[in-house]
Amino acid sequence: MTDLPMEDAITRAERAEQRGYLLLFLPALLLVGLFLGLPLGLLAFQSLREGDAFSLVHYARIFEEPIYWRTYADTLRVSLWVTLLAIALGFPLAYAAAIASRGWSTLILALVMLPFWTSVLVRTYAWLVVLQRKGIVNSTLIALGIIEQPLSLSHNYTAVLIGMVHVMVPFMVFPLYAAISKIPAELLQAGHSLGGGAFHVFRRVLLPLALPGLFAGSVLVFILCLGFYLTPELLGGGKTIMVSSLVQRNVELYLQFGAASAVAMMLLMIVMLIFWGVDRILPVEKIVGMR
Amino acid sequence: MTQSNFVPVRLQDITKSYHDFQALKGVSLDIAAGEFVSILGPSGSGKTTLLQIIGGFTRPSAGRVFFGDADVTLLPPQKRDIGVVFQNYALFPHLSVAENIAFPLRARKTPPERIQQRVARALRSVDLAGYGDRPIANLSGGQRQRVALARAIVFEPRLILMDEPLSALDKNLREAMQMELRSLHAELGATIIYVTHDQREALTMSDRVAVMKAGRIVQIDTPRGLYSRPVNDFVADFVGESTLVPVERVGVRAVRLGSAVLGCPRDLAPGQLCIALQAETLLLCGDEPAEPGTNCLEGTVGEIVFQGESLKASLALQGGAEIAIRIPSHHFNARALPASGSQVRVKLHVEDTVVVPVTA
Ligand SMILES: Nc1ncnc2c1ncn2[C@@H]1O[C@H](COP(=O)(O)OP(=O)(O)OP(=O)(O)O)[C@@H](O)[C@H]1O
Ligand SMILES: [Mg+2]
Repeated sequence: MTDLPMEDAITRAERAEQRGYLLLFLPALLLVGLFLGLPLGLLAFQSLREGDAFSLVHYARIFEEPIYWRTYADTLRVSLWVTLLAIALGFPLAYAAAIASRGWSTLILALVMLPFWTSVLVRTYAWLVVLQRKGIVNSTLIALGIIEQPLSLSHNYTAVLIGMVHVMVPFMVFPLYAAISKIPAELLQAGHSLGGGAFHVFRRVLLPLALPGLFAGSVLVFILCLGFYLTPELLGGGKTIMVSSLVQRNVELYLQFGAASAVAMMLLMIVMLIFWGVDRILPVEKIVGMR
Repeated sequence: MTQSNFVPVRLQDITKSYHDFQALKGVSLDIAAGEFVSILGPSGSGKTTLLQIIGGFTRPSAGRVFFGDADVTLLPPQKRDIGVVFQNYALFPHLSVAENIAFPLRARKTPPERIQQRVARALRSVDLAGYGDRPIANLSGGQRQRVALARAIVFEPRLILMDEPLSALDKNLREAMQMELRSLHAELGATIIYVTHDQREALTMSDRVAVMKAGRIVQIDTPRGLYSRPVNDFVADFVGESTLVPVERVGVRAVRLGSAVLGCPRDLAPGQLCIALQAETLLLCGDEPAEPGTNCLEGTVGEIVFQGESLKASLALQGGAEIAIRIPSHHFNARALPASGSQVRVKLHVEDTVVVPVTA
């Protein structure tokens, strides 16, 4: 067992192999470094500058002015609601697509994909038309005699939620579909044969096994929501201000690049804090790497 | 186990079509309470489909399923009270061994202390006491199989269904588990329906075996009956290690193979006939005149292959048919071994002379 030269050769071969992997990894690494790492660094730098000196004034302002705090809270709240609504709408869809026969499942997924063929701008304006005081929803409800006065559905919080959920449902459906369709049909059959009713099997078998997909979808939707700009601006009627609008105003109205950077950095830090917290409660690797 | 709640099962003319394909073409089957019945058949013959219909996972296109006197054809699986052991066990990967076994009890809202007792008892009955906290991923194939079994029996079901539960195990473990299943069956007094395409497994374990072919039950009989009285060439070919050779009818209980005339134990069926020559029933013999009750055949020895416990020799009969004979490989036989190319005589007991009608 002291045949060192052979061992050296093996080590060398292993190193060469690892260098090969590194090479494959390099383009992605460069891309991320150049277009994500660098801008983030610049952003962080800018947020700490006032005039020609380093300073924390931009951060201090965030803590001092309630409008900033409220905006962060609103953004998180909207994102949370959108995520929950997307789960409520997306889970049945994903489940249906996963258990349906091939033809049906393709149809369901195609319909879920359909919104991707139109731009968010067009869809948002479409919602504006549908939800306005004399829009199709209100006129139908009045014609049916369900309500007498038109509901105020646009230019408010409800409209923002509706518009955002519409955009976000596909992002929830696809990871969920991937997770649910991987669950062997026998497991659900086994659950039923062992005496489990529909809810029991859902709660004890389907849901725990779909958790990786649910988690992935929720993270995706939540993060995308935090950065939403267009839909809340157009459908919210200026009442629901998201962090992105705050950044935009700082840049366009007041030319405050430092302040805008600080607001953005703050959002990034809040997200990281949330994920750190979630990770402590729900061990992510365990959920995702379970199977 | 004194009071058993296991039920008889009756299938009445079950058909199942998928679009224009008929997976089951009128299957009727009567299974007594406490009986162990295997369903044996080649791949695609409809075994799983039949089991799925008994389990309630798929509905038949026509026909009825009875448990005892109750018609359960339209009852969903969760109301049928059956323990199912799936081919790949279908254990819940996110639950521990004990939680898997407790699943059917929880679904029935059994009080927690009862659950603990019964899970512990089920674990002991499959020899897995102390394994309750293990995650499923850490178990070996045989252990998983036993967990699946424990989960299927813990709620004292009315019927146990198994779909090739041993097919994933290696030979030794499979044979050990077959014995375990047999003794468990005796102990529980359970009605068990067991799907397999391994004829030896079916013969080893069952009270009766139903042989399926292309969506129909061809024969249902005891293992011994199936082996010695197959109804046609398909069953004869599927059960045991036999070679089918066409023969000519020369009497009510006699057929001719080449120049040899062979006596048969029963009256022959009408139609074309063939003989199922099983390698292990043919014995080498000398030139002495045949005793009564013995049939003799002559042939030329071809290749001889050592297969461990026995040698397998191919034998070219005078008519040109190629069959196999099996010679135990112990040393008492060493002197008597025929040389390749030599002419030999083999004898076959009349009772082992299986002549069956040829089906189209
Ligand atoms: N959902 C289905 N749709 C269409 N055809 C099916 C379906 N399920 C089974 N079949 C067909 O029915 C026939 C019987 O299938 P089944 O699974 O019962 O066979 P099996 O006897 O269990 O075979 P194996 O030993 O390979 O498991 C097969 O030809 C199969 O292709
Ligand atoms: Mg099968």
